[in-house]
Amino acid sequence: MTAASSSSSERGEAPIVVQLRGVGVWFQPQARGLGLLRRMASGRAPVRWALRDVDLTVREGESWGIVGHNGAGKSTLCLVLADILAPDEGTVDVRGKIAALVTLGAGFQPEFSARENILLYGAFLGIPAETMRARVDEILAFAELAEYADEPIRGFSSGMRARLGFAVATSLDPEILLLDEVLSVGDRQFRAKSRARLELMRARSRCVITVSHSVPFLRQVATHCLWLDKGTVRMAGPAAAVLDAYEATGGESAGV
Amino acid sequence: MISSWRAVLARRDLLATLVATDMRVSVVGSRLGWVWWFLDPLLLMLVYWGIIAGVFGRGSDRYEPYPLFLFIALATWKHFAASVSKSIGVLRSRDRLVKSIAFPTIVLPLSVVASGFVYFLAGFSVFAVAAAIWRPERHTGDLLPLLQVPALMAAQVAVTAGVCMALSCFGVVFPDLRLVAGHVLRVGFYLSPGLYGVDLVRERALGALGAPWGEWAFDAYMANPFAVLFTGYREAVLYGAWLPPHWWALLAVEAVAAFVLGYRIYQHHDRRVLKFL
Repeated sequence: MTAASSSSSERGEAPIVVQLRGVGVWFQPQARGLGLLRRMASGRAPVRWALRDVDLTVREGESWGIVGHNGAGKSTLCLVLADILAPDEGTVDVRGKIAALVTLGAGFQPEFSARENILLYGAFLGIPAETMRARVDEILAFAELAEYADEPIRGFSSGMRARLGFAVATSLDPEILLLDEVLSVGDRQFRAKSRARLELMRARSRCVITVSHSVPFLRQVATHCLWLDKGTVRMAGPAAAVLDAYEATGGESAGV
Repeated sequence: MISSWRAVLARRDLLATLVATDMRVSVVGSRLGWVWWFLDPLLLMLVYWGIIAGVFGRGSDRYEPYPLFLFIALATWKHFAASVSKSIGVLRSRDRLVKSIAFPTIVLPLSVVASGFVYFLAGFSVFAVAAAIWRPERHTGDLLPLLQVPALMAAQVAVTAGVCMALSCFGVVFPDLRLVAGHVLRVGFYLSPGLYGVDLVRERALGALGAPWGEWAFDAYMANPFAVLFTGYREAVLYGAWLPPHWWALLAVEAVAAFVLGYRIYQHHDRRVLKFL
């Protein structure tokens, strides 16, 4: 799918899959020692808005890219979309099963075998044990770890763990796919295989939201883009226009 | 994902998996494996018994069999104290997981309480068998009071879970809570009737304050749910006796209140508290 392939007339008719209205998320800068005591004594804690007044409407069939400088709020937005973090203001409406490929291999137990870790990960995702058990061999085969299936992953190299993490996280069939950064793991052969699987997932999903620093990559995969700058929406719309504007500023934060 | 009861019930398989995971992890690094579930409370009992009965020559003169009298209080308190200190750090220790997968995170403190309860059950089985063999003279011969045990266990789990749900959130915002909790828990145990019985507390209160005030002070002391729990297990299993109804009523109210309050606190901070991770 390319940026130019989205037709605005179709866009108006397609059902809304994700809708964010006035979303805001604040963080408190960490305080220690005397600073913390002073803060407790005053009863006031300074807050920094990581996201503010963010509106986003994603319709079926669209592929959105989220761009922005480091610290612009992209990852926070990802957490909000994935229903991991609740916004402090505004509303989030996600209509469909969402899969967030954010961190690979989180929740793995080093003492457990690859097979057991796959079942554990499935339990976290809410996939019934029987369904996951039926998928185990396919996941192990994709991760090229079938011969190490019953060995504790403590002895696995970081590459093997990443392959296992990728294989299990992408074994889902989500309606909404949320990708934080381009997932690139393993050697060249595995990277090609993982790209093909992501493409397949993209094709099967009702909509895709990708967070990336790579403008060329987003030009390839996104129909629309949201440009975040210091936690607020700088620009949103067709990918080509947003990415052109983003590149024109050198991809830098406003005012820098 | 919101940590509502509906979500937890829908994901009860995750809770069961986490409990099984915790239990497996607890035995992976040791030679004796699951034997430690029984050995650990026994060793703790031997340490306290050795100090109180052996060194100070106390305990056994008043409470018979004193090792079992001690054991059940230590096992119950250990479930509470270990669950509390683990819960305070549970979200922080699994921050990568909490920040990458949407699931009702309340299952993390609940799984800590549940797996601790399985260890407690292992210790309790040792206690029950030993109590059957080593039946004290004071035993009424009535086995019906054993029916109180499941209700006592339910109250113990409810109180522990309530405290743990609340503290798991506070532990994210104030990581130092773990250090404070260690001291508070130690004081809490010595203030609870673990090494002595509530009869001694009543006797001392009446001796020091006289009739009405001493009774009131004793009633206030029994507001500690662990005073009722320790006494309940001892009365039901060691002596074949029933707890007075007003203690049951007090324990039931406290258990429900602790659980509901802990749950409400978690709900309030749910999916927001991870900003502090």
